[in-house]
Amino acid sequence: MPLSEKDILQTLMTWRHRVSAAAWVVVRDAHAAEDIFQNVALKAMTREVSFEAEGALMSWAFITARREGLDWLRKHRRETLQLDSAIMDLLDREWLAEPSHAGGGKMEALHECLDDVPESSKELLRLRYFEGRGCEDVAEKLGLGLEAIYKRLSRLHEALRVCIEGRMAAQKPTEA
Amino acid sequence: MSDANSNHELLLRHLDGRLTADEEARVAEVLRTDAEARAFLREVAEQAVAVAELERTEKARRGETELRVVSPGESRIRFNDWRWITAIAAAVMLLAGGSFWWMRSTPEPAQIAEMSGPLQWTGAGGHVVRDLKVGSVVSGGTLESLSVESSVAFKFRDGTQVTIFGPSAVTIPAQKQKVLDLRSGNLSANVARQPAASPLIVHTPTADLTVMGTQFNVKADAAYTSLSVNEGRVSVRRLVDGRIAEVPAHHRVVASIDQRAELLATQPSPPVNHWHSNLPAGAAYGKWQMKDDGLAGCLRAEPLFLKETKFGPLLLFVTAISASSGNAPPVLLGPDARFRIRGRMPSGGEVSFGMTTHFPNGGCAGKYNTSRRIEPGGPPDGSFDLELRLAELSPEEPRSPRTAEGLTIEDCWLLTVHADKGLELVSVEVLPN
Repeated sequence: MPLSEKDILQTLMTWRHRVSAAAWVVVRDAHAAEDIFQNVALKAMTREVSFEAEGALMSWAFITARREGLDWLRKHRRETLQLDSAIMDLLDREWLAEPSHAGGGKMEALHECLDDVPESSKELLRLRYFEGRGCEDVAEKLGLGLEAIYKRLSRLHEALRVCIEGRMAAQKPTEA
Repeated sequence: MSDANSNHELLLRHLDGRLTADEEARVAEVLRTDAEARAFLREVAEQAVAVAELERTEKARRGETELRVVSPGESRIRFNDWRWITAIAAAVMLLAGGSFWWMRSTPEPAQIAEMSGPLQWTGAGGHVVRDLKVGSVVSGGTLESLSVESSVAFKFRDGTQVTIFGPSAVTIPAQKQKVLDLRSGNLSANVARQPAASPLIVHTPTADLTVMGTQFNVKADAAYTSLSVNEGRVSVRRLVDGRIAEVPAHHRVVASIDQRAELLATQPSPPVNHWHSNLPAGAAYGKWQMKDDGLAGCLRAEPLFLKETKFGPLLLFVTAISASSGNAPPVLLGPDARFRIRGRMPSGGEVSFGMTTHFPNGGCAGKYNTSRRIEPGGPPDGSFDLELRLAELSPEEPRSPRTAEGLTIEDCWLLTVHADKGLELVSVEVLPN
C-alpha cells in the first residue's frame, strides 16, 4: 500500500537533517541546503509516482537532493570540484543505513553539545557555516592562520561527534 | 599527526575548495576506501546544517529579522514543528488546483553584503532603521546611502549583487521579480542570468532598464539617466517618449527628459589620465556661488546631518563633484597620479578628501579618502592649493584594492566635520604625474 501524504511528510521530517546534509556536501551552503530540502519535500508531495515504502522514498529523496544541489550550483555559477557519483552513492547508502529514528535524537544531542562549546568556537562555526565564509576569510576575521583554522575545525567537529555519541548513549533506555 | 587527523584536515580543505587536482584525487581515494573518513564527512555536513539552523533560530528569537516584511506570499515554510504540514498541505492544494501562485510569488529577499558610511532603511509602515548590519534583510522598503562617502551592497540569493553609493535611494519591493526603483544617485549591479519571463527591472525618474544578466552602472537624477553597460546587454526605454534603445557591452547611453536628444548607445571614449573639474557642471553636492570680486566661482559646502553613525550624530559640510557625467571619457588613475585641489577656507582646519572609484571593466571598486590640515594665516581670501598623491588615499572597505591605481574615478568630495568652516571648493584636477 503506497505511503500516505502524512506518512511521506513524517518520514521526510525524521530524515530532514540528513537530506539537508547530503545537499550541503554538494552545495556547501547551509541556507541553500535547507531550500533544497524544502524543494525535495514539495516534489515528494506533488509527485505522480507513489512510494511503496520508507526506503524507496528516502532513496529518491537523497538522489533528488543531490540533483537539486547540482542544479543550484549551475544556476549560481559556483564552481566546486564535486565528488564522483560512486562516492556520493556510498555516502547516501551510509546515511540510509543509520536507523531512521536516530535523526531527531542526534540533532537534539548536537544542539545540546553546541550549547557547551566555547564562544570563540561558536564564532568559528557561525562564520564558516552560517555566514558561509571560506576558511581564508574566517582566518582573517579571527586573526588566525589558515592552518590553525583547519586544525581547530577538525578538533571541533571531532569533539562534537564524541559529545553527540555520549549524549545519545545516555538517552538510550537501560537494557534489563 | 595521525592518519585520521590528517584525513580530516584534507576533507575540510576539500570542502573549502582549496585543493589541487592531485589532492582532490587523494580525497577521492580516501573516501572510497576509508569508512571513517566518510563518517567524518557526513558528520561535518550534519553539523554545518545544524549550526546554520541554530543561528537562524537564535536570530529570529532576538528579532534580528525585523527588517523582513512578512506577507502571505513571502512567509517561507519552516520545518521546525508540525505547522509545516499545514503549510505543505496548502501548497499541495494550490498546486493540485493548477495554481502555481505559491512558487511564483515567493519573494527573493535581498541581504546586505557590504556597507560603509551612514545608511538608512525605511521598511514597512515607514519604520526607519539606521543601525543596519551585514546580513540585514532589505525587502519591501527603501534603502538609502546618505552621504558622499556612503555605499551599500545588497545581494539576492541567485548571486545578483547591487551596490548604491554616494547620496542615493533605491526602493526594493518584496516580490519574486527583482524590480528596483532608483529615485536618484548611483547604482552598480552584477546581475546573474534572470528567467526570460521575469528580468531585473530598474526604474529611474527618466527611464526603465530591463536586464537579463549583465554588469552595468547607472546614474540617475530627476532629469537624466546615464547607463554604462560593461557585460551583456540592457534594454532602455526613455519615459518621455517611449523610445527604446538596446545597449550592448562597452556602450553607454543617456536618457534625459529632452526628447529632442538622440537616444543612442555609443562607445565611451578611451580613458584619459588628466581631468579638470568644470564647475558648476558636475556639481553633485554643495551650493554654486558666482563671485563678483574677482574670485573664481566655487562650490560652497552645504550641511549634511547624519543622525546615527558609528561615531554618534555627525554634522558634515560637504562639497562633491562628479567626474563621470555625460559622455565624458573615464578618468583612469595611474600609479603616479596626483590630485590638485583648490579652494578657500579662511579659518583653516582639517578637511577630508575622498573619491569613489570603479574598475575599468565596470563595477564599484570602493571609496578612498584622506585628511589634510589647512593652516590658517594664509592668503587674506583664505585660498588654499592642496596637492595629494594617489598613494596617500586609503580604501574605506577591506574588499577594495589597496591602492586606487588602475581604477577610474567616479566622483570626489571635500568636506569638513562638525563645524561650518566656510569651505569653498574651486576646482579639482587629476594630474598624471
